[in-house]
Amino acid sequence: MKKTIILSALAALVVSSHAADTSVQAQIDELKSKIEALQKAQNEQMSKQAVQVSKTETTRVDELEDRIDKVETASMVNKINWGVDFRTRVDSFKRTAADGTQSSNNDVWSNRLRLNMSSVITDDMKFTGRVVMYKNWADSYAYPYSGMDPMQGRRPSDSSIFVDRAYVDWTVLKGQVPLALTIGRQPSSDGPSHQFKDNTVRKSTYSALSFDGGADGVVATVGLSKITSIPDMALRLGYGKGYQQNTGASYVGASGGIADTKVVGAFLDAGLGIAGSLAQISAVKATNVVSNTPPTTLGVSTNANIGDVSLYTAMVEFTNLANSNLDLFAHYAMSVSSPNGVTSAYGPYNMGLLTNTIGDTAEKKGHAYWVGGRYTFENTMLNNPRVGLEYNHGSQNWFSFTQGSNDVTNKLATRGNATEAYYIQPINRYAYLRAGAQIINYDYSGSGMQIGAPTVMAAGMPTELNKLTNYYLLFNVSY
Amino acid sequence: MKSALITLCSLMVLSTSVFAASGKDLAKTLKLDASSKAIKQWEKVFEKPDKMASMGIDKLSDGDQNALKGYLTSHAADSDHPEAAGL
Repeated sequence: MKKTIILSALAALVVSSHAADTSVQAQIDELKSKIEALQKAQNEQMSKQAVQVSKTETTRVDELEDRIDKVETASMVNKINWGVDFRTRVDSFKRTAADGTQSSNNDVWSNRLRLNMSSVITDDMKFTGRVVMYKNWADSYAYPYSGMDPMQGRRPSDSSIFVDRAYVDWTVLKGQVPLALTIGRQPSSDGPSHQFKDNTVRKSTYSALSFDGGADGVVATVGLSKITSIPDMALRLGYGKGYQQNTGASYVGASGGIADTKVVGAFLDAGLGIAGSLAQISAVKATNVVSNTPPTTLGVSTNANIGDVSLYTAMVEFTNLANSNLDLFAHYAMSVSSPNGVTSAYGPYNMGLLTNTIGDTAEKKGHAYWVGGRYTFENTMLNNPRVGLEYNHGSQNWFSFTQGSNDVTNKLATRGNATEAYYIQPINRYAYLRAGAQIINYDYSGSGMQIGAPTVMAAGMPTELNKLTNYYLLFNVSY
Repeated sequence: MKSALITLCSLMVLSTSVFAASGKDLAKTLKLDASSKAIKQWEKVFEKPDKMASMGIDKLSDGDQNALKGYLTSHAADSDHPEAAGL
C-alpha cells in the first residue's frame, strides 16, 4: 500500500514535473516569441528612424547645395573683380627761372581715382584693367596734352575717365619653358622702383627710369627659371607703337607723310637669390619718333618724324633686404638719340630730335641714374611708419619715355639733379598719408622733351625752369 | 673685445634672419595656397587652434607662424598683387 502510495506520489510528481516543464517551456517559448516580436518592432523602428534621418540629412544637403549654387552662379556672373585706389593731394610749388624770376603756387589740390579691374577668364587666361580720373580741384580744363597717348589719365585734367591699362595675359604654353602673351594696353606705368614711395608692390613691367606712361602693345614672356634655376628669371620681347597715324574717317588713306612710331624691346628679369630682389636689363628702340609740335595758328599740322631713340637700362632692387626693414634700389640708363635732320616749326624755332639745326644728324648720347632707399620703423603704435630718400641725375642729352609719369614734375627726366625725401604714415592696412619734398635743379633746358637742343641754363632764358621745389601731402587709400 | 662681441652678436642675429624659413617656403611645405582665401579668412585661421592644427601650422615655432601669417595675408586673394606682363 505504502509502496503504491509512494509510486503514485512519484508518478504524480513526474507528471507534475513534466507538466511544470511543459508550462515553463511554453512560457519560455512565449517569452522568446515576444522578444523576437519586440526586436523586430525595434529594428523596424530603427530603420524608419534611419530613413527619416537620412531623408532629413539629404534635404539639408540639397538645401545647402542650392544655396551654394546661387552663390557660385552670382560669382560666375560677376565676371570682374573691382578695386579702388583713391588719392587726394596738395602741392606747394616754388619755381625759379633761369633769369632768377621766382613764382609759386602754394595750394594746388588734386584728386585721383583709379578703378582696378581683374578677371580670371580661364586657367590660362586673365584680364587686368584700370580706369582713371585725375583732376585738379574745381578745374574742368582738359590737360592740353591729353591727346598724347602715354599721358592720358596720368596728369591732372578734367573729370574724364581714361583707360590706363587693359590687357589679357594668355599662358600659351606651360611646362618647363612657359610662354605667355600680354596683349593690350600694357602695365607700363608706375613701375620699379616707384612702389616704395607709393607704398605698394611692383605695378609695371619696366624700370620707371626709362618708361612711365600708358602704352599699347604685345609682349611675349618666356619663363626661364625652371631651366636655369635662377628665381623669377624671364625674357620679355615687346612690340608697340608710340604713335599711330590717325587717318580720320578712312582707315586706309594718306598718312600725311608721317610714319608710325614703332617700339621694340627686350627685357631680362631675374631674382638674385635673395628674397625680395629683382634685377632687370633691357634694350629698346623707338623708330620714327614724332615731334608732336602744335599746329600753326592756321591749324596746319607741324608734326613730323624726327629720328630714332634707343634706350639701354639696368636696374636692381631689394625689398626688405635680409629682413632688415630696408629697401634699396639703383637704376642706370643710357639714351642714344639719332635725329634724321628733319625739324618742325615751333614759333620761331626749328625743333628736331634734341637739336634746333635743320639737317643735323649727329647722334646725341645721354645717361641717367636713380638711387634710393626706404626704411620701415617697427612701431606698432604708429603702424610701422616709413621714411624714404631718392636721388636722380640726368646728363645734357638724357631722354626717356617717362612723359606719362604720375609725378607731375617728371623728376626722372631731369637733365640735372633731383632729390626727394618722404615720410609714409600708415593709417590702416589700406590707407596712408605721405608727406614729402622734392628739390630739382635743372642744368639744361627741355627736360623730358624730345624736341630742341638741351642748352646750359643761362640768364638769358627767362622762360626756362632752373629750379623747382615741391612740398606735398597726400592721402591715399587702396582697397 | 667688446666690439668683437657686439659684431659677433650682430652677425648671429643677421644670419638668423637671413636663414630663417621664409613665409613662402613654409606655405609651400604645408601645401597652403595663399590665394585660396581672403585676408580676413587667413587671419581667422590663425585665431583658431583646431584650424591651425588641421593645416599643420600648430607645429611651427612662433616666429615661423608669424612669418607664414605675414606671407599668407600679403598674398591673399584680395591682397595688393604685383603687375607685370606675364605675371
